[in-house]
Amino acid sequence: VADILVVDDSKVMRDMIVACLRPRADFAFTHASSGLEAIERLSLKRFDLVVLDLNMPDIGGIEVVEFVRGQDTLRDLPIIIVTTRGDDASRARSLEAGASRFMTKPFSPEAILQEVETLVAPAAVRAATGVSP
Amino acid sequence: LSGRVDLAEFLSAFVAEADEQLVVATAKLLAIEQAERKGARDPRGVRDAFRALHTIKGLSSMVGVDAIVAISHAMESVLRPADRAGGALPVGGIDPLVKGVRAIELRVRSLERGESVAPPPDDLLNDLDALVSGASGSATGKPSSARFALEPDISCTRPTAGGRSGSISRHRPSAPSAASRSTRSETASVHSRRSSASCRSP
Repeated sequence: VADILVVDDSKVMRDMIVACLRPRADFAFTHASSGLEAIERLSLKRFDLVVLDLNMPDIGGIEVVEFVRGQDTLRDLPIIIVTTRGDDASRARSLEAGASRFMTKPFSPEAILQEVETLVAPAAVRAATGVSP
Repeated sequence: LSGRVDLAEFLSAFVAEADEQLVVATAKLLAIEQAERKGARDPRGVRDAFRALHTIKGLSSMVGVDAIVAISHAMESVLRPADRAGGALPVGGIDPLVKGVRAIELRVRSLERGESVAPPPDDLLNDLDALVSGASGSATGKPSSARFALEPDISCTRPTAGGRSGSISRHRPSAPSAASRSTRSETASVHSRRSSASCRSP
């Protein structure tokens, strides 16, 4: 089972993201409604991937990515940024901060599922062996 | 998989959250107006109103309610620069924004009743566009579709097999500069959603 943390201040959006990934019965989901809650959950449990909104009221997605990349134990954690802000500046800032992917809403269920599957498999190998595939 | 999140599955939750955000937006716009009457600004109110419209736009885009996407996007385009300017809305900005909230609300009600959703009102979009044009000092009277088509915020897309698209950028943690170049090359197009204003019912 791959543990996926879904972070968005909109519950409906979190549910939509989970629905997109629902075809994979071996994915388990944890919700976080803010950047602060995401950091708290990441500090308590190991996840295989994070789907992260960019714009949130307390701590934004960029700050969460920077926190994750600053932790030795989380440095390789795959992070997909999802946002309605598809401008170049947001994209560049997200990737420079260390996000693995940047997706603009609306995205299709197929698109995000494909990206998650691409990222989760190597992460699982890394978690099991300690070696990047 | 359908290529799009199914509105029918999320209709009641979508309506509930849209209503919640519309209440926030209305309250904030009224607070901003009251502050303006006192000659003051309400930067927190502007930011909260922006965030409410941003959430509505994101949810609407995911389920393909393009009319609401277009209205909320036009409202965002007024509120974002105001937020960056410390809460300074353009003169006469409140009225079109309140009308925008009302226009979104009407369309949410249509969705709730299972009816087709009306396209966004051109006069409202033009009024909101005019506020943006006036605030930025650019030429007024510019066709609204021109500004919308050039707006980079809405969606930079890469076609997918399902006909829908998601903008995807790849990043190799060990080579961020290379990743940035890859990002540019994968950005296929910027498209307008205003042209497809009709929406399906659940």
